[in-house]
Amino acid sequence: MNKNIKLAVAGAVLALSASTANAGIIIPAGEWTIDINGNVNAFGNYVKVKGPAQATGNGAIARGVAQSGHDNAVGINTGLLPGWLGFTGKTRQNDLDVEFTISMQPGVSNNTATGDGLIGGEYNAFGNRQTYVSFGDKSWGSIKLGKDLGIFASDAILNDMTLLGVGAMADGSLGGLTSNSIYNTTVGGIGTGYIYAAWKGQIAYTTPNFNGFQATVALTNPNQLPQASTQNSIFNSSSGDDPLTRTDIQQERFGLEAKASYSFAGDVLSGKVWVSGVNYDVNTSRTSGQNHTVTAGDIGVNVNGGNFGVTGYYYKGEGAGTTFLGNAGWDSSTNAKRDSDGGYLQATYKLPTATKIGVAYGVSNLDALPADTTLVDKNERWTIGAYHPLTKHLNLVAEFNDIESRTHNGVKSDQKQGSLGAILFF
Amino acid sequence: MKKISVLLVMILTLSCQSLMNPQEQPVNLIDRKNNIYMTTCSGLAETIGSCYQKAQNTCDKGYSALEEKIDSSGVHRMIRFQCKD
Repeated sequence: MNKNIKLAVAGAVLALSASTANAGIIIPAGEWTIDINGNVNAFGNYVKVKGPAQATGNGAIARGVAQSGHDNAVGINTGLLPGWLGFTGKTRQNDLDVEFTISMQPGVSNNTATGDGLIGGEYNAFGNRQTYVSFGDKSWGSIKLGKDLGIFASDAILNDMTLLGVGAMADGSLGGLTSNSIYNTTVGGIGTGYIYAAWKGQIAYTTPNFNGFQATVALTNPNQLPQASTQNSIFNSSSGDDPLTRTDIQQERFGLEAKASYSFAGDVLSGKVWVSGVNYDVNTSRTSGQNHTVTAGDIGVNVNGGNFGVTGYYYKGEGAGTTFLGNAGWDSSTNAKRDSDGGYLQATYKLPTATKIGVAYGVSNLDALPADTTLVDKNERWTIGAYHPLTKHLNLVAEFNDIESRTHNGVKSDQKQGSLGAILFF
Repeated sequence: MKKISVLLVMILTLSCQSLMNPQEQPVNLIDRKNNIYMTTCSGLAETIGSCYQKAQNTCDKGYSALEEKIDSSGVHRMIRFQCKD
């Protein structure tokens, strides 16, 4: 007999349930309830690379020996999720559920001499992912204003088992294979199965929960796409990506992002099905007026039954590029767009010891334009992981990842990683 | 075969006797009158599926899910559910 799910949002809980969850240290404070939440995680990582060279071209994940000068390295780093300290305050005033969240993300990874981020400015490993206010009521939904996880592809990363683990290390740099290891985190399944949802300024409306169905539409900051001429996906002042001269951070239209999901629960199975999409209008030159659109859509499903869990995900985009939204998504000289697609399959099983084991395969593909040669063609990832709840708030993690990157002209690099660590959440 | 070997090593590593006292996140009764419970399934070892598994184990005659929450960091998951009479 199936059980009907009734995901009615109740009481003093915001209808914007997808973005908040009480689980931290709760402190009543007058009219407010303060929730201090977050995590600390760290991993010992070993990386071994193979191949004559990195599969060069934007978006390649695995690294080759030629770039590193050596074929293996170790490091102690944060995983895909950085350390996290978040403050959420909630209250109900004038028939409105009102909430704010501000969070910061200090990382473990820092390869400077002092290790505290006070020297080597751009290597400072400290983040700010959330600063938002939301208000609403269970009768009509809620509105969020501020910075939070992007809408498109957000469920892809939230269902990725490496999110709280390690996954791929971009360029192998977290293992110390490069001298300028600027990354605070690994990239998990980003670029090997899905595009990063990123943390975006947004004005979002979320509907009430209609028996498991919920939808969100949002205007988003359009100025976070990669630099048009260099296709650099990470702002770097030293390479000339001056925000005062970048034409692509002066967009004339907001980004549009939306998603819809349906959650279900029954005697045998529970799960969620979702779709999301994104559309940006990108001006790449103020002088010539060149512009194009970036569009992408995805579909995913997560099903759980007994001790088994399965997740399947697929995305497809035009101009959306790979790894980061818009990264290598178009040719900066001709403005021609490249198609891309990808997805991942993941299966997990909980052993009688309460240890969860999982295996995942993900791939991201980027089509070539006629003039492309060294452009990355494909990033693939195999992940095998074991995750053990030592206490209800402390998990031990063991992961093996095998990442392969290939270019359209046949260059291939392979990167294998082993990681042992722990994550404590509160 | 290589991947399977690595998986076996991982499992053996995590199977040390000192680690064999796992602790799952508990189910809490929050409204006795209406038979409403809350549980979390945060972190890496549990999933949203384990939240529903715990609901199923708690309620002899089935349950209705009242609320599901997943936060933006991906760490915290929670459901509220009501056992059927």
